[in-house]
Amino acid sequence: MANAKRNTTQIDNHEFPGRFRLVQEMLAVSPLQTYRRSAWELAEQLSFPSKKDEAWRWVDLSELNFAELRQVNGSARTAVLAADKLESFIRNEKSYLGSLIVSPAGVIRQVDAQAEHAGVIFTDFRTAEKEYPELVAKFAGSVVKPDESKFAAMTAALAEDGFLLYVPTNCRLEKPFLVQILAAAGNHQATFTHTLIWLEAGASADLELAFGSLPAGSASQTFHSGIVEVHLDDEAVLNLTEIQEFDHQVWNITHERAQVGRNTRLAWLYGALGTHLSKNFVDIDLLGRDAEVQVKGFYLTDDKQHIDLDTQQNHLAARTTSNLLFKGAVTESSAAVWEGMIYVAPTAMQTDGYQSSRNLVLSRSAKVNAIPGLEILADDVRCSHGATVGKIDEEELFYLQARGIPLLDAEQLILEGFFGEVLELTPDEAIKEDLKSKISKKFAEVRSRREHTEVG
Amino acid sequence: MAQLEIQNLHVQVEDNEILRGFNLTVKQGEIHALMGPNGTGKSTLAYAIMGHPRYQITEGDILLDGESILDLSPDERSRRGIFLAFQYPVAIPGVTLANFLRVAINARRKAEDPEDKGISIVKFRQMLKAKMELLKMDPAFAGRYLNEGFSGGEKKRAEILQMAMLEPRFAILDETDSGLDIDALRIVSEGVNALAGDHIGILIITHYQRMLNYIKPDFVHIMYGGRIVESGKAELALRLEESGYAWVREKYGPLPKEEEELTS
Repeated sequence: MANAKRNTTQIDNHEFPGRFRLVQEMLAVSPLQTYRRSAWELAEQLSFPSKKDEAWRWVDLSELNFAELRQVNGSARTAVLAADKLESFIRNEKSYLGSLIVSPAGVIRQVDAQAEHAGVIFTDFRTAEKEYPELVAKFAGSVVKPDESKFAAMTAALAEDGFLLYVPTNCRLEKPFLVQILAAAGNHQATFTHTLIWLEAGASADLELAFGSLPAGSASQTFHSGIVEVHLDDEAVLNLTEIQEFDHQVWNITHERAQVGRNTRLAWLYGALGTHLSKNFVDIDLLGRDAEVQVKGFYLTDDKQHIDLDTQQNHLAARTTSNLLFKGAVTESSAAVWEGMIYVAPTAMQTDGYQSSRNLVLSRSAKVNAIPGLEILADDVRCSHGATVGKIDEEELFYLQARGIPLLDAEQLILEGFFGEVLELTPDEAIKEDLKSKISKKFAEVRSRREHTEVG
Repeated sequence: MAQLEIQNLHVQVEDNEILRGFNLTVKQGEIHALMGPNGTGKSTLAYAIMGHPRYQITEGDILLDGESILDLSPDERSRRGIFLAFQYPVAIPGVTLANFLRVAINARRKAEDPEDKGISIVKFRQMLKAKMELLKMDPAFAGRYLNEGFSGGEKKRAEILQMAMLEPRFAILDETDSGLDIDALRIVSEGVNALAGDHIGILIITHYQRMLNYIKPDFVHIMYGGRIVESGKAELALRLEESGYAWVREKYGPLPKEEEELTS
């Protein structure tokens, strides 16, 4: 009976399109008119994902008040936040080749003139649509198809934020790019973002991508849905660090995929700290021989957060290598899910694929699900996987305590060490330190709440 | 003078009584050697003094400067000046030896003064460098993850380095000589000798006499069946070296476990 009631609520809250509209004002200037229109039609046809759908079985969207959500678009956008507040997000602690802040409240962009001269395009999605219509029309939807879910379709149709990084053939960029995507916060606002990272043959780039929230107008539910499309042509090299630290009121769904060609190198570091609920699809398609991909991820959840990561390593060509490691720690009443799959196509001989997930459960009410999977259709391959869920080792704790380190500090030290292995993927010491301190800060907050409860 | 007193200590692990009325007093400035056959409770004593949660004290007391430490957590005991060099040091992946030592030193400083901002990087490095030189350790060692992939000798040396950095008042060395080749044994022993003095009491737990060739104990005790059965000077260790533990067994009878085996 309880179930039946919940289902009714779900239908009430999830009637499509709710307050969402495909706005003519936007379509008029969009070279993606056809793409957006057909995506919208798909969004109308596709049903909301439910726990009955294999890929969504751990995701409970019933509490998402879809009917109240609205996209801030057109002239209302800039009213979201005064420009000087946006400037407070500027980070200039190190030298970037280009940096970009993208938000419904506006865009702040800075890019090295020489890089632009060399043909690099680095700009927000709306500007890219206007100024590079042919490129955007060619790229959008080529890696992530709008029909992958109702949310993917909605995002394809509605996205106004996001960015394009285009690096031309053989252009090797030494310094990194920084992008901060800031979603609207509070007031039932929804932000849709579309990201295109396109490296032509022989190109190389480093990119730091951070998802965060604008200062919240209210504590109400907020929604973000994003598409991230990464294309590496033959011989291209990309170091991508992606960190998600949305506010805790954000419900976040992303469809992210990298397609990599012959002899490419992709290192993707993926961190998830924020949101109330996240469902992220992180897929790699190894399309060309000798491609090598490393994906390392981390998640640290607290409160009632639910972070659900779905990874795929699709080996579609011979002699390809993929190595994936996700490490997570769950605290308080939070939950995390990692579900991975290595697929090896019949032609993908001499594939070397590895996936692993290691998890620490730090409270009795926290939960982790780690589910590896293999589907191997070729016979000359080397593939393996592993998943562990456990507590912090008591002998490790005792050893550190025996050196005078209090229990909670000992836990923190072990945790920092635990995540250290993942952060090793980035060669950039500043990024490593930054991520380390973000993890420590979050854990310190959990600790102080725990200390408070124990005393009180 | 400061002293560590163990009084009539009874310790059990998962319902097995291991220590059965153990008595020993170690004063600052003294070096004691505790010897005995395997399975007699030497490591149990070490863990019980340090406060390992699995070792339950059912009777007796451990006093530091006349005060019981039984209610103190392991970290509090450490900060009061007790140090245990582990027989099997634990690996902590991803945490470098240097970082770990800095956290340990800062934990002490913070316990003394909650406002303390921690040891300066420069001062810490100088201190670490000096102590590593003392123990003839490669400075690069400090950047390695704690005990991860360390050889037996490296682990033991790292334990003594920790002792040097934390400057305890009482140190228990649990089988620090095991797994060491002759050169490593000499270096580790010299390190211990360099740290010994009026300000520290040392309890060397060992199965063999060989470490005592380098470190001269003031007292030697033989532990058997969960308590000390013989105490003496350095000659006692030599007697064990010559004639083994057979005479101890003969004099004090078989251990309870051996008894069971005999009767079954």
